[in-house]
Amino acid sequence: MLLLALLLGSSGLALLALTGWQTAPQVQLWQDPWFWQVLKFTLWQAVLSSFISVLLALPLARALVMDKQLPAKATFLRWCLLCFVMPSLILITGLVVMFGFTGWLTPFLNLVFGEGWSLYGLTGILLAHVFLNLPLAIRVLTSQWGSIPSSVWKMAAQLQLKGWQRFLLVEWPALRSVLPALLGFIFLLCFNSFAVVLALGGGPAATTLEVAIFQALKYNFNPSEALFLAVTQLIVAGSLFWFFNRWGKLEWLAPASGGQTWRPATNLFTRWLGRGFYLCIALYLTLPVLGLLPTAISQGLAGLPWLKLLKASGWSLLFALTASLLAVLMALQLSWMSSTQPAYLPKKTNSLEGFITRLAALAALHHLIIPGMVLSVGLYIFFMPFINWMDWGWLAIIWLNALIALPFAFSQLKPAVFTYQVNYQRLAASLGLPFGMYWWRVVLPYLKPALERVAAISLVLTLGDFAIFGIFGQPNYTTLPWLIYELAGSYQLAAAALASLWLLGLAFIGLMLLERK
Amino acid sequence: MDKVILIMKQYFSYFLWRSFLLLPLFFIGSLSAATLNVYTYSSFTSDWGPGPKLKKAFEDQCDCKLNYVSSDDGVSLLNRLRLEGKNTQADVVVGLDDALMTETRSLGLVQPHGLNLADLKLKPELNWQAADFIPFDLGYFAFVYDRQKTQPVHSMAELLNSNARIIYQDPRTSTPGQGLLIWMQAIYGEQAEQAWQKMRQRTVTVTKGWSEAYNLFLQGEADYVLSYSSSPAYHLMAEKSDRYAAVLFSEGHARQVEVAALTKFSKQLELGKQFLTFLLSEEAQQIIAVNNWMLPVREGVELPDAFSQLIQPKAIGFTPEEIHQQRQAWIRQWRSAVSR
Repeated sequence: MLLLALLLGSSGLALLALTGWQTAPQVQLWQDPWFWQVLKFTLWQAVLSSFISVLLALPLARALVMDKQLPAKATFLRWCLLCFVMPSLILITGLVVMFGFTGWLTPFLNLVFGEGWSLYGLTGILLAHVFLNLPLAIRVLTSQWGSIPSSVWKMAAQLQLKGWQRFLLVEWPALRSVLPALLGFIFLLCFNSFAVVLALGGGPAATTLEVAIFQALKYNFNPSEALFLAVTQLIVAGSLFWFFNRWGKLEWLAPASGGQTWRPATNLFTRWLGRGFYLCIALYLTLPVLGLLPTAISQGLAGLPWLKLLKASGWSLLFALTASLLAVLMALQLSWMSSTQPAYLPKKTNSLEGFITRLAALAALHHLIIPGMVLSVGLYIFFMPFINWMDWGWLAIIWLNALIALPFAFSQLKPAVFTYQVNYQRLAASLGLPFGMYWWRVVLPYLKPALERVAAISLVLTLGDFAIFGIFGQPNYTTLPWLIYELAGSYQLAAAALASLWLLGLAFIGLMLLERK
Repeated sequence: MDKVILIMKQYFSYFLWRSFLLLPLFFIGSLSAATLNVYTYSSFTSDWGPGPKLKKAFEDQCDCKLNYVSSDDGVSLLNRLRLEGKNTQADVVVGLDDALMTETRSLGLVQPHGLNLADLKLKPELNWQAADFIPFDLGYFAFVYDRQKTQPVHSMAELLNSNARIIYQDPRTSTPGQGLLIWMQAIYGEQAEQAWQKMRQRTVTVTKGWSEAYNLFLQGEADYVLSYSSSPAYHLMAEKSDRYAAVLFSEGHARQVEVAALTKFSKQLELGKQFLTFLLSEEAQQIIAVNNWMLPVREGVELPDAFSQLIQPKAIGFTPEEIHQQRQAWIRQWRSAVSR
C-alpha cells in the first residue's frame, strides 16, 4: 500500500507541478517562434531517424533470414542487442573518434562532401540515432521474417511465385503487422532522446524538446519555461506512446531463433548484394566502438584521469545497483499484488482486490508514458521550496532511476510470478512453511532466472542514465556517463574513450547475465 | 590500493555526514581550522588557472583553509547560487561579472563588503562604486585567430560577411557568450537579429564553456574563437609563440569586469573580507594576470612584457542595470535567430 502510494504519489506530484502548483508554466512561449522551431526539429529528426533505421533494417533482415551461409549471424544479432541497450554516451565518444573534427574518417568525408562536413548538428544526431535503433529494427524484423513457416515458403515455391509475388503474398503480410509499431517505437525513442542531442547537436540550431527543458532549467534557470516545455513533451510523447502501443507489441529481447527451417534459394545477385550490405552495416555498428580502444591507449596510460574514473565508476555503480535493487524489489511486490487472483477463479472486477490488482499494474507501468525528463523536472520544481537538491539530489537519482526501470522489470517479471501463483501457490501454502523459509526456499528459487534477467536489464538501464542525473546530479558525485560527456566535450578523447570502454564493460557484464540461458 | 580505500572512505563518510550521526564530531572538526568556501568557475580552479596559487598564497597568511567549489562557467555559477539559496555553502563567490551584478543583487544573494574602496587603488577608468561587489580582473572580449592560417578581418561587420568558421560560447552558461550578446547589441542594436543570423552561418559549434571552445580552436577546428584580448599573452609567455593573436575591431569591444562578493549567507564574514582584500593585493593581481590571462584592476601592477604586445581596444557596451533589464529578451532573440 505504502509502495503504491509512493509510486503514484511521485507521478502525481510531478504532474501537479506541471499544472502550475508551484510555478505557473510560461504559456506565452506558445507565441515564440523558437518553441515551434524546437518542436518541429524534434519531430523531424525523429521521423528521419525512424525511417532510416527501418529502411536500412529491411534488406539486412531479409538477407539474415534468407542467406544461410552468412557468417557470424548469431554473434551479429547478439551485438545488435548490445548496441540497442548500450549507454548512448559510449556511442557518442565513438562517433566523435570516427567522424569528429579530428576523426579517423573525417579527411575522407571532407573529400566526399567538400570542406562542409561536420558531425555536429542533424548529421551527428542521425548517425547516433540510427546506430542505436537500427539494431532494434534488425532484431524485430529478423524474428518476424523468421517466423514465416517453412510450409508457406514451400507452398510459394510449388506455386512458382515470382520474387515480387512471393514478397507481396508471403513476406509482406508477416511484416505489415509489425512495421507501424516498430516505426512508432523508434520514433518515440528518438523523440525522447536527450544525451545524443545535447552532445552532438552543436548548439541551439539543433535542439529537441528534452534538451530545451534541460537548458531552460539548468542554463537559464527559468522553471516556468521548463514546465511549459515539459507539459508539451508529456502531451506529445504520452499520446504517441498510447497510440503506438495499440498497434502492437514488439519482441526484441527474445533470443535469435535457430533458423533450421527451409528457405527458397535466392539468386546470386541478391545474395551478394545482401552480403555486401551485411558487411557495411556490421562495419557501421562496430567501428565506432572498436575505434575506442586505440584512442584510449593512443597517448599512453599515464596521463589519464584514473582517479576521476574510479570515483565516477564508484558512484555510477552505487546509484545503478541501489536503483536496480529497488526496481526489482518493487517489481516483485507489484507483480505479486497484481497476480494474487488465480486465473481459474471468476474475475471479481468490481471488488476491492480487483481494484488493487489493476492499480498495481498501473503503478508499475505508467512510467512508460511519462518521459524521465518530465518526471524529473516536475518533482524538481515541486520540491524546490522545501528541499535543498544540492544535498538530496542523490536520493532523487536513485528513486527516479528505479521508477524508470520499473516498467521493464515489471513486464518481464509478471509472467513468471503469475505462472508460479497459478501452478504452485496452493501447493506451497499447504506446506505451512514459516514466512521467511517459504520465500527463501520456495518462491525465490523458482523466480531466480527471471529475477536475474530483470536485474540485468535494470542495471544496464540505470548505468546509462543521463537525463535524471542531468537534473539532480552534482559535480561531487559525477557518474560515468556525465564524466564521458565532460571529457568528450572538452576534447580529451583518450580519456573519454577509456571511460566509455569501461562503461561498456560494466554494461556488458550486465548483458552476459541477461543472455545466460 | 590506498586510493581505493580513500575513495571508499569518502563514500562512507559522505553518507554518514548526510545522516547527521556525526553531528557532534562535525562541530569539533569545524573548530580546529576555519574553512572559507569559495564558489568559482572551473577554469579558475584548474591546475593551470590562478586558483591553486591564490589558495597557497592566501593560506600562508590567514591560518585557515580555502576550499574551492567550481561550476562550469560564470553564468552557471549564478544559477547554482540561486538554486542553493539560503542553504548555500558558499562564503565568497568569485567569477561573476559586471553584467550579472544587478541580477545577483536583486536576488538578494550577496551582502555589502564593508571595504573602503578608496584604499584599494582601483583603476580610475573603472569608476568603481558598488558596495557589495569588488572587481578582481578585467578583459575585452575579442576573437582570437591563428596567424599562420588566417588573414584577420578588422571589424565585426567584416567578420560576419566573411566565410570564416567561428566557435563561440552559449550566452546562457558562459560569460564570454554573454559578452558576445552584449557586444552584438552594442554594435547592431535593432539589427542584432539579422547579425545573429549571419553569425549562425559562420558558426562551427556553440559550446557550454570557454575551455571547450578554446580547446576546439587550438585543435584547428575554427578560424576564430571568442575569447579575450589578453588570451594571446598566454601563448607568448607559456609557449613563447606569437602564433595566436586577437583581432582589433573598429566598432570597439565589449568589456568584462570579473567580480567577487561575500554571499548573503556567508558564515565566515571576517575571513571573507580578508580574502576580498587579498584578491586586490599586488601579489594576487599579478597571479591572476598571468594565470587567468586577464588584466589587473589595480593601478600600477607590474606585468610581463607580453602584456604590452596586446591590442588596446576601445570599450563599448551598457551599464549593468541596462543589461539586467534586457538580458532575457536578448537571449530569446539570440535563441530564435540562431535556431532558424
